[in-house]
Amino acid sequence: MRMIFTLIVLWTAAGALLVAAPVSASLKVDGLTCSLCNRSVHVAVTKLDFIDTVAADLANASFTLTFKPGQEIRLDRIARAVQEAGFSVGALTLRLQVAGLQVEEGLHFPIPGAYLHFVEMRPQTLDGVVEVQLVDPIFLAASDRFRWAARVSAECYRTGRPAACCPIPENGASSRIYHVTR
Amino acid sequence: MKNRAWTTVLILALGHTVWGQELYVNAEAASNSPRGVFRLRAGVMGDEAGWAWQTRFFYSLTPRWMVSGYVSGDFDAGPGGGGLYLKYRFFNRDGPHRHLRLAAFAEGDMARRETDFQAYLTGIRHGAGAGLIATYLFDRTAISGTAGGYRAVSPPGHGGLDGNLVPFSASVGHLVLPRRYTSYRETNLNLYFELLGLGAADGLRLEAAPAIQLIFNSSTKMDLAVRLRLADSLPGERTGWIVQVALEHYFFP
Repeated sequence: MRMIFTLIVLWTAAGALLVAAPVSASLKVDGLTCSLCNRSVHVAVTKLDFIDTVAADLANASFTLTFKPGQEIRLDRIARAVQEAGFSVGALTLRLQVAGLQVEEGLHFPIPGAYLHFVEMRPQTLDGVVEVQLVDPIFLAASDRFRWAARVSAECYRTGRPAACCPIPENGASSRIYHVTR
Repeated sequence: MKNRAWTTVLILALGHTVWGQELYVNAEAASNSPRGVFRLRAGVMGDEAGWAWQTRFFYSLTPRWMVSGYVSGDFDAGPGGGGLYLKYRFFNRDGPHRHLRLAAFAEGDMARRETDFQAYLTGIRHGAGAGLIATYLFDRTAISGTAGGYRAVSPPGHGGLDGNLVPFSASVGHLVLPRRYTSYRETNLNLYFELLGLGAADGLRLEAAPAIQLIFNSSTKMDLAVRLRLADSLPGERTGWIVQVALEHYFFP
């Protein structure tokens, strides 16, 4: 009985430590219309060192990216790779493995190498694999950028870096802040 | 001599057979290849005068800047000319399965042989030019227009045209197959129709250029095209048709 209790405690603690680990992303690319274009983007994102696998949905001009466990995930480099291939990010959705993650408007949550800033969120508890959409301008279609710029007033939204609105530790002062919603 | 002159025309016409991500056979689109992609193109072109060859490279320095160069020759007389082409994409608006792009270009060419109106219209040039390109792509169809100015000078020691020219083109391309992409290995079939023109102080020439294009493994394409004379008020004689066959391969970084 004591052993069972110990295992439950350990399992719970492990779950708490593993919250919000990004496991994959869905990348929608605008401007793609041919397989040569798709392949250009495919090659570009495959070369990113934190990307494990890339699966293309050619008909919908989208890609599913899985991340290497434990690697720093630099989402900006995904957008830059798409741009250098000659196209634009239409949308980027991040899949997080979470366990009892309490989210609310303004929550800043660490992922390897960065923080997720939740916007337009009602208080809720997230469990399992959940999807959040990046709403920073670099991850939005041109038609959506103005809309989100008008909706998110946080100072860090303009700079992508910690500002007065960001309750994060001092050692994270230079971290990248990504803004997400559901 | 006349046959050689026409062969030279064909050589450098092929030298200007380029394409961007819109894949046109005879006009350059406003789009560039991805940064670091190297493209190599080889082809032949012929009419009643004979066959010529051409090799051309394309390299995208950045998503905005692309450089291209070519060397051409014929099977009898060897290399006949070459040139460099630089393009800057200054506007880009992407949307789902569509984009609008604007670009400016500059080019410089050298010919080792005599030039004339037909040569300039189809690509054999000695001089320099610049112009603008607008390309709009939506779903399976792409339209593009190009207009510019070109200062032609006589090749030293050979003679030829000397004056200001206005080359222009209008192009439409349509993706026929596959109806729905499922794999990079699927062969693509594109159909094109282009109007190619050259204006000068003493006349105008207009050509229609239908083409078929096959793309294999999303990395190699083959163009089959013909150029047909629609109208011609420029001085001199020119061929009524030209056949083009070209093979091009993408080397991804």
